Amino acid sequence: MTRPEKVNRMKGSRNAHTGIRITNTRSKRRKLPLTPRQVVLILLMLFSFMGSGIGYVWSNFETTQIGYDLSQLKQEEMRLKEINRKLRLELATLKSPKRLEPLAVQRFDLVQPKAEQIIVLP
Amino acid sequence: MKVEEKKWIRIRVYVVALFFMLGLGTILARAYQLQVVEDDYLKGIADKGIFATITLPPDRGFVYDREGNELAVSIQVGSVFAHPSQIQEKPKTAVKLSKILQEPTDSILQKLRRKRSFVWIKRRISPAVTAEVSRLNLIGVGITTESRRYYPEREIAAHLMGFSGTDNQGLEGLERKYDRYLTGAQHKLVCMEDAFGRPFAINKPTPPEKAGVHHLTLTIDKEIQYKAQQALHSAVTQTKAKGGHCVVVDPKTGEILAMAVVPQFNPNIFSKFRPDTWRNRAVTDCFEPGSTMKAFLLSAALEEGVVSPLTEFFCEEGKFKVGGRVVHDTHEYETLTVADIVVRSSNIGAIKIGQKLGYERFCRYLKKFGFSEKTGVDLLGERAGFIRTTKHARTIDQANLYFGQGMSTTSLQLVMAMAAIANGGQLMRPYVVKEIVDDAGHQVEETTPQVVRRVISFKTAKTVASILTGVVGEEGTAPKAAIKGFGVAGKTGTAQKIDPRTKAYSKRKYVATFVGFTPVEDPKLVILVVIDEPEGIAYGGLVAAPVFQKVGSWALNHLRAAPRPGLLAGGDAGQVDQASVSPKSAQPIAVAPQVKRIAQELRQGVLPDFTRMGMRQVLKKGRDLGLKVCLKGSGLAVAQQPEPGCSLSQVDSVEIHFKPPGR
Repeated sequence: MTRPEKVNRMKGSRNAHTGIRITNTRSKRRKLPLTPRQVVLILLMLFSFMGSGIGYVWSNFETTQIGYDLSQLKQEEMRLKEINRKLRLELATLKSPKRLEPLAVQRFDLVQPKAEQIIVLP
Repeated sequence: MKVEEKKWIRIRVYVVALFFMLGLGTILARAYQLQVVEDDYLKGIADKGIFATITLPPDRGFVYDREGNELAVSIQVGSVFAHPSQIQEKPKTAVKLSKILQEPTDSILQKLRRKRSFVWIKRRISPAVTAEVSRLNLIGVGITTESRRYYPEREIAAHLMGFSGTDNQGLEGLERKYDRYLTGAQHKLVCMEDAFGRPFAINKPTPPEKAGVHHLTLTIDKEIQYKAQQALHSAVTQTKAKGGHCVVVDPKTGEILAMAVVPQFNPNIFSKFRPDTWRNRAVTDCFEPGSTMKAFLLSAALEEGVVSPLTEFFCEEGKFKVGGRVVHDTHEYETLTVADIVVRSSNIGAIKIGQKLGYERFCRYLKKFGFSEKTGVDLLGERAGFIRTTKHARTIDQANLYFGQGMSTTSLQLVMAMAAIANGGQLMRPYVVKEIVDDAGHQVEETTPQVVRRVISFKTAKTVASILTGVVGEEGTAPKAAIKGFGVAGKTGTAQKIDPRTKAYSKRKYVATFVGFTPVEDPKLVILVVIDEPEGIAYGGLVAAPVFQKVGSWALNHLRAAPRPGLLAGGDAGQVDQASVSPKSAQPIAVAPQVKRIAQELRQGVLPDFTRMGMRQVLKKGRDLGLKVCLKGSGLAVAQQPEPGCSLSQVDSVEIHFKPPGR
C-alpha cells in the first residue's frame, strides 16, 4: 500500500466532524449464548422452583392455621360435649317423677286414671 | 529443597491435621453428648417449650333405666386449690373465698397456712360458684376441673345404684359391683403451643392402658321404682315402722323392675346419711317370712298329690298343741279346705297340711323354690337365708316352718319364689343389669332371661294361682290388695320377730308382708311388700297390701296393661267367688277364676251398629263388649267390619272406619 492510499483510508476511517478514528471492523453483534428453547426451559424451572418454594411456605402456613382452627374446634367440641352432659343431667332432674307428680296433681289438677277410664288401643 | 525443610513442612502438616482432627473430635463428642447422652433431658426441655399437655379427668359411664332415662351421670365441675407459698395476704384471701364457698374462714385460713406447695380448698363445686371464684382472680388460687357423679333421681333406686366416691371409684351397690366397667382411664391430650401459649396442633389422645368407659342399662323402670319407693315410704311413715322393702319383678324374665328400700338416702350427699341406711336390705337382710310360706306349702302339697284344693282339715277351733307348745289361729276355725286354709291363713291348717306332706319334702320344695341359697342376682352382699335341716328341727320347729317361722329369707328370694308360681312353675334368675355398652354404643354384654329350674308343674302353678286370688277377695286376708280391673293373686304374712334381748318371739315386733302377682291370667308383675316392725296393727293384709295395690295399679297403667272389662263392674268381681264363706263353717272355695265366664257372658248377643258414633263412644262400647277395636281415620264412624248383627260369640275384633262429618 502506497502512502497516499494509506492516508486516504485513515481519513475515511475518521469521523468527519470529530476527527476521531472509529474502527468498526472488529466489532461483532453480540449473540445470546442460549437457544430460545433453553430460555423457556430455564424460565419454567425458575417458576417451578419459586412456585414450589412459595407452595411449601403457604402449605406450612395453612397447616399452622388449620392447626389453630382444629385445636379451637377440639376445645369447642369438648365444651359442647360437657354442656350436653350438663343439659342431660338437668333434663333428667326436671323429668324426675318425684318432681313431676306433685306438679301434675297440684298445678294442673291431674289425677290417676280410674281403671274404667283406661282403654288400651291395639 | 533441602531435607531439613521437607521435614519441617511434614511436621507442620501433621500439626495442622492434628488440630483439625481435635476440632472434629470435639464436635463429634459434643454431638454425641447432646444427641445420645442428654437426649431425653434436652428433648424434655425443648418439648416443654413447644408442647402442652391437657389432662382430661377420668370419665365414668352413665347408668340408664330400661327406658333410657339417666339414673347416674358424671359431669365436670370445678375444684378450688391453692399454692399457699404464693399467697401474700392469706387472711384476706381466706375471707374472700369463704364468702363465695360458704365455708368457715378459719378452716380456709388453716389450709392456706399449711406449709405445702398445694392444698385443696373445696372440691367439686357448682359451675356458678366456680365462675365467681375465677372472677376474684386471686393470686395463688386456681380452679381445676374434676368429674363429679350426680344421681338426678336422688333417692329413687339409690340402694341399687349405690354411689361413687370423690376419686371416681364405686363404693356401694352397682357402682361398686360394675366399677371396672364404669371407670374410664385418664386421657391426655398433647398439643403444640405457640409463643403466646395458644395450642395449634393437637395430637391424637394416647390410647389409655385400660378400656374406656362403659354404660349400664338396668332392668329398673324409673316410674315403677318411684311409685314403689313413694308408696312404701308413706306406708312406713304412717305405721311408724322401722323400715321396709318393696321389690317388683317381671315373672317371665326375672328382670327386677323396682327395688325400693326404706329408710332412704340421697346418693348425691351420701355422707350425710348413716352408713346403715346405704345397705340394700332387700338382698342383704334376712327375715322370717311368716304366712307367705303357706303359698309354697300349698304348691308342694298339691305337686306331691298329698292333698287337693278341696281336702278338708279340722282346724281345732283356733288352738292346737304341737311339740309341747300351743299354736294359735287369729280366728277360730273348725273345718277348712286346703284352699281355705291358705286364703284365711290358718296356722293350724298349715301345720296339718305340712305334717301330711312331711318336713323333709317341704324343705326340698323350699330349696327348689330358691330358699336358703343365693339367687345369683348381680348385686353385692346377697345373703342365702336359712332353713333348719330335718336333723336339727324339733317337732315345734317343723310345725313353725309350715307357717313360715323358724326360717329366714331375703325379700328377693321370696319374690322370686312367688314369681315361679306366677311363671307357671319355672324359677327364673333375677337380674338388674340388662346390657353393658361401650362409649361408641356397641354392646359388650347382655343379660338374657335364665331359667334356674322347674319347681312345680304348670298345672299346679295355675291351681295355686287361682287359690291365691281368694286372698284378695272379701273373705281373704288382703282385700286391700285388690286392683280394680285386674285379677290379683297373693299371700299375706305377719311374722313375729325374735326379740334380741329375750331371745324369744316378741309380741310387739312383727314383719308384715304381702307378696302377689297381677294380672292372674297373664302375670306381668310380681310385687313384694315388707314392712318391718309397724306400730299398732301389724297385719300384712292391712299394712303391706295397700302398698301392693298402689304400686300394682300404677305399674299396670304405666305398662299399658288393659283392664279386663269383666273385672271393672263390681270392683272385686273376678276374684274367687267366696261370698258364702263364714269363719266357723267355711264352705269350699270355687277354685276356677271367673274371668272367662264373665267375659263369655258379656259376649252374648249381637254386634251393635257403631256408625255415627264418636271414637270415645266406640272405644268404650267395644271395651264393654270385650272386643278389640281397630280404628281407621278420624271423625264419626261410617263403616264397620264385621257388619252389625253378627253373633258376638264369633267376633273377637272389629275394624271401624271414621270420616270427619260434612264430607
